[in-house]
Amino acid sequence: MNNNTIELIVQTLEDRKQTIVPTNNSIFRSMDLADQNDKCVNELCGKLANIINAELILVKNKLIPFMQEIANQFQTAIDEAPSVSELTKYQIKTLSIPGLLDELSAQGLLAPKRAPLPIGRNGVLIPTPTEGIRDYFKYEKASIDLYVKQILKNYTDEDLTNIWDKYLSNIGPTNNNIPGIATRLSELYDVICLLYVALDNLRKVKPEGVSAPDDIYFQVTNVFFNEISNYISIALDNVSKFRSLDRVIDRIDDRTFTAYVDPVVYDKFIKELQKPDIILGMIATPTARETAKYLLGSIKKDAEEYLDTWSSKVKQDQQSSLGRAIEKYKLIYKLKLETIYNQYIPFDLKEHITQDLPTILNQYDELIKTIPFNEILDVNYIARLIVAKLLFPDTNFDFFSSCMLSYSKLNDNITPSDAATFASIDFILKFILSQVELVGNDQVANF
Amino acid sequence: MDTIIYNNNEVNRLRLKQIDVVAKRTMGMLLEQADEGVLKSISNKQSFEEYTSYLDKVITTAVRTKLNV
Repeated sequence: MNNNTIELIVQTLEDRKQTIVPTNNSIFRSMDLADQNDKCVNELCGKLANIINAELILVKNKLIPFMQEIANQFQTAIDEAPSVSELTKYQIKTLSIPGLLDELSAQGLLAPKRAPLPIGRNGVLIPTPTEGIRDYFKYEKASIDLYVKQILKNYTDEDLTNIWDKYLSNIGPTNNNIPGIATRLSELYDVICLLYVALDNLRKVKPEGVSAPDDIYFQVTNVFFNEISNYISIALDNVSKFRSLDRVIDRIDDRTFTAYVDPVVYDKFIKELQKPDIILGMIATPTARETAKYLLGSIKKDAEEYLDTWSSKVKQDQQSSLGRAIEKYKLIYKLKLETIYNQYIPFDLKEHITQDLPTILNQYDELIKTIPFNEILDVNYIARLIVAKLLFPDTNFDFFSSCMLSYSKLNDNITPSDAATFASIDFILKFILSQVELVGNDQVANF
Repeated sequence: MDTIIYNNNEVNRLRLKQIDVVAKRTMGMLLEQADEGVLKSISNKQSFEEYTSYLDKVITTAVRTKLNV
């Protein structure tokens, strides 16, 4: 402070009839008031500097890395937790149309398209193979088997067993799964391809364990094979017809909030309208379920309505998901705090822990109630509070870290060492000024 | 030993100077002690002048706030 400032303060205190006196146990009580350079002053300043330096080392080398580790753990747990948004369940899935369908048609291996027929009165039971099930899903012609292998890549032996159990273990009028295939072709592209291949093998060689007479066995398997072959012809015809009509959506599944789209027409839709949100709006609009509304022209006409529906859905979700997100974050912080306390406190920091876990968790419950919503979502902020106020309240980490943070927020160009310097100055001044107080001149004699 | 009797103005003046000295000297000692990179480097003239000017300003503000002057 320059002399002018000091004189100004002295003058003001004189006017107010006040004097600066040391507090009880003040460091200034041990100093000669007049001597600014004596050994005592130097010793005191040296001690103070030692204490602050030790605090800085603790903060920089141990507490800040520990705080960063905690923030990382919070972030990982939050990323791994389920989303609180309801919007993530709305999906657009592109129909995967196996190349095998076109290849079978190109090679003239399909029955001509006709109306589906019932399976007939006869039935055969074919036991599900307990081993070597994949052998039944090999096509003898390599150029076709190439496409079969592409489908099989996504199927385990267990998946194939399930398909066999469902459609092949009982081929006949008593199997209720079979009539449903014709009405769900686009959902079952892979299955009808696999049934085509398996039946092509089964209709040629009767496996062991089948009790039906040969004539019935070969008649039934051939009928079913022809029916599956017909389904593939119908499926190909549907794809071609729907594409000529520009039918973007094949179907919307209200249970899974999923719209299944034709890849070719969907590309056209994206090029023209550029907004997948229109389709998401359609999923959210129950009145959009008529197939005539799945055509590109119809979607274009009602696009604004679907976009509005989606926008309000997004707004509504943002409002309700904020509350859910806050509850999720609070719970994750508490669960992680327990794990961190029990497992992650470094050995050399344990000596600074002075409270047991139940006390810390109770303090967390109280602390989190006082934190504004936007700050609850800031994992770095919460990690700092937990280290400073709950785990290590007896260190000066709270003072140093909050000071450094304030200085960093004031100016983007401030380095951590600048911020630590400013915080140290604040720390020294806070300490020194706590050693004095102002009293009226008439009370000075008491000090 | 003689006892020096100061008037109130003198007490305030000396105490303010003492606060200033203790703050600056402690900070100086801390800068000497601190590991490299922990605190601001004030090795050149410009950074030293900036630092002393900043320190002076902060001490003045803190003292005036404390004393409500």
